Amino acid sequence: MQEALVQINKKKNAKKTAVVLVALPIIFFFVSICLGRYLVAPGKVFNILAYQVLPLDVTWSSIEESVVSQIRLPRIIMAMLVGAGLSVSGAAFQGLFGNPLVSPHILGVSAGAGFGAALGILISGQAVVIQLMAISFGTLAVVITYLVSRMKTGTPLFMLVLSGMITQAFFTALISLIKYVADPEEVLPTIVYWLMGSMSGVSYDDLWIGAPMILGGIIILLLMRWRINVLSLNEEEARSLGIDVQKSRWIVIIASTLITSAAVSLCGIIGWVGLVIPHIGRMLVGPDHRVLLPACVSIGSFYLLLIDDIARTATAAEIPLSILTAIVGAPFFAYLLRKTGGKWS
Amino acid sequence: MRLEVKNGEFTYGKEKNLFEKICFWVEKGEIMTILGPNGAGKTTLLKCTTSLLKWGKGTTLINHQPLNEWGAGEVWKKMAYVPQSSSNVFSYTVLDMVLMGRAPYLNLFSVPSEPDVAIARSSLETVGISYLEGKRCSEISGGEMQLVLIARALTSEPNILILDEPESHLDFKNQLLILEILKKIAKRKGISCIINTHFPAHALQISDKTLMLGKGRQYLFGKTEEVITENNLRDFFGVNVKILSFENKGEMMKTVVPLAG
Repeated sequence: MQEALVQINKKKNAKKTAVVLVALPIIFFFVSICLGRYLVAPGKVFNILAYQVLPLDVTWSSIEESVVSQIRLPRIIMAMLVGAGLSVSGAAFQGLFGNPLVSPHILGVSAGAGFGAALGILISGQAVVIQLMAISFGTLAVVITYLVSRMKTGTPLFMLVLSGMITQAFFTALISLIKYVADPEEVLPTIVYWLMGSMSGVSYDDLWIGAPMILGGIIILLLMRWRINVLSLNEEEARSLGIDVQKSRWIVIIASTLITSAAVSLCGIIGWVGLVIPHIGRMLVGPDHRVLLPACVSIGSFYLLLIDDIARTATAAEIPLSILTAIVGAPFFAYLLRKTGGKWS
Repeated sequence: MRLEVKNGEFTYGKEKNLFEKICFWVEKGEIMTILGPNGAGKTTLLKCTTSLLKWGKGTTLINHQPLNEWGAGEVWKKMAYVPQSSSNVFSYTVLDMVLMGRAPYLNLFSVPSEPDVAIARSSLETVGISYLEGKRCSEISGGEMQLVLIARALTSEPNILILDEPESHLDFKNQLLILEILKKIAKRKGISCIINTHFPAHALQISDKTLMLGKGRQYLFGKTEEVITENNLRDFFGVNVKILSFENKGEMMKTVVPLAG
């Protein structure tokens, strides 16, 4: 009897959590688009948004329209996409490696993409070049990690992690090299600023390459959400459940590489999101990846949107994102660690 | 379903052969136990049999057809493996864990549906742990976890069940429970079982056939009561034993007592 009651309560709670998780990013989307140093009344903001699809009478100035639809909207879309992408790929990686301390950066993709971007800034400075270089080198880094870790009988996870560390160290050194040779007046500050992560000055044109990659990666991982449960078992167990572990594993890695390298290409290296959000997700909905991954889409998009709102409104100058994600994320992670005693549900 | 191993050999390192031309088979609904001292290669033998490890030479056949002809996807619908233990940092619920037994039937992008959940629930019922359904795997005892793993294997609806020391780390009562459940599964559902065990008494209690592995590549295979004798146990384990028979509620039972010196 009591068991049954507990079950019913659990179901009710699960429903409540689901409603909150769906509503949160949507509500926050509207809050964020009203926020900013240039004041636009919320009523006008909604009309401008509605005007994109409905024929309304224009009651706002062209500056107001461009602030809302050309400056804030693409930036918000990007923040939500990147936040969702990093969180989902973080959760997928933590499942894949059966280790809750793993982040999407573990295979060296971010260091590689960061190097690509820095090189792009050094030799060209054009957004398209920077983005393409970041994506190419991010992918190259993962390929190198793969080649280093590959063994005759497939790749054991610990080899993959160690090779990832090697690749990461290598590309981090290359980033330093570029900083060292870059012109300290003009280019160096751009590189440093860029690597710390920022979404300022985003336009729709910037989104064309990265956004579909992130979206595609998220969709692949969401489709694989149950398979990731099986992958989180040890390799032999997973194999004995009839799945092709190596193949499934590489599809997760490829999807995650798409997401992370595209995210770095759009807004620099943003730490902590991919590590911390999956933990918050697990506390809310439990470890089952069927539920955890969709939850991470919601929490991740909400979290990075919040961080970016702080970045663009807290002070007159923009605060780099990775500073904020760590300043907010690190204490929170410490709190979690204390509260759970290192045991993850 | 009939499972047969023909001329199995396994080599590790350069030249060290663990088995030489090992042959055994189980028929539908039969229980076979594998006995042998530590280091004789019991677990390796099981893994080779299932194709989790590759045979150096020889093959495993299901219904007279080699495993590689069935293809990995099909093999794991016919045969399920129960590991000694399963540790996982993510404590899934018992139902979610058991549901993973449906993996051989679901493709990369599939999520289990209602019928899959129903099968998982009925496996929980078969092993008698329906009441654990909503519990987390980190909250249950070792004996219960072993039952969860057996339920997960049953969820693949296999014809052959392969278990690696399922009762090793359990107390008296749980050992008995596991043995009874395995007997029930074999007799009622016609599932053939191959079981590694450290206990000759358990083998005498439940199995039809026994394979006894020795350290020097020699082995014995045959009917359990013919393989498990005082002489054979002394030769293979290097221990003098006494096999005692007694009657319990009209049923003859046997137990094995090791003797010092």
